[in-house]
Amino acid sequence: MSPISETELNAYVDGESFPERQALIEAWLARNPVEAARAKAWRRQDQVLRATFGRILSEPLPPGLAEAASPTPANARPVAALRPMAQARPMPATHPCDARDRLALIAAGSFLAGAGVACLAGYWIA
Amino acid sequence: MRENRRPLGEVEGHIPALRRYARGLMDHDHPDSAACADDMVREVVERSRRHGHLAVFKNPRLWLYATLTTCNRARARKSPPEARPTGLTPAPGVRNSLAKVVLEDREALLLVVVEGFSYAQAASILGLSRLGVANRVARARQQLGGPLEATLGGQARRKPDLPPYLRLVK
Repeated sequence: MSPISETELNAYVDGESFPERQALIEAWLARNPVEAARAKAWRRQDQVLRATFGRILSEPLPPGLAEAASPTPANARPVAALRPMAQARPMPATHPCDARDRLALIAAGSFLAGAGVACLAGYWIA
Repeated sequence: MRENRRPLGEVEGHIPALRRYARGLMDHDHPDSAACADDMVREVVERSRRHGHLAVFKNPRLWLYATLTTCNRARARKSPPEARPTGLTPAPGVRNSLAKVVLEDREALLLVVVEGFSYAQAASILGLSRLGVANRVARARQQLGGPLEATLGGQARRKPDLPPYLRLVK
């Protein structure tokens, strides 16, 4: 079995391998030209991906988004008025994040309430 | 008002990069999918404005990417592959090869490689462990293949696995 896993080789290419493993990975790559070539190919592919998608950064914002991006009190409009296209491709009414955060709040609230009751009980017993 | 509590400038600055991520999440490199990607970004920006939210305050960038990821998963669930437009003749290119990568793996690859997040940050966005991100990135690269992978064939391909020495650190 190879001492360097596929996942670790990927992490190495992404600069995410552990420092103490780096010398070992590099020595292994030196002994395995096929693996070294794959790592090199991934790096090249990463560059192509970054260049391809990087072009989007310099595109001008489409009108609807530019408006949503900089609402001033003067041009602020109701959210519904900004979204004719979103209606054609509807999004879920409630966001999973909302539910999760609400749950976290409830959990925190009940914990605090519980702690309060415990304190009071302790005081009463004492 | 709630809306006024959030520093809007922070969100605005992230819009071009959010558009880039949204475009990468789309299944087709097609004019219509670009409009759909922009719709999602707009939805996320509006949500961030509506939330005078602790999660948004803490790290707006991570929150925006996490919300966009969730929006896109909901969209992808609503339009399963068979319901997507057919008859398109996608040009061969990295964006179309990427569109064929499983969505969960593509998310991880885009966040790390294109958006420049660390594994730990991507883990926080995707709600995974750091190792989970590492495995998804590895799987995405495997699916993306490339000419070299094709010539090396199965011999060079190994499955992403769980090495005991890859610790989880934040």
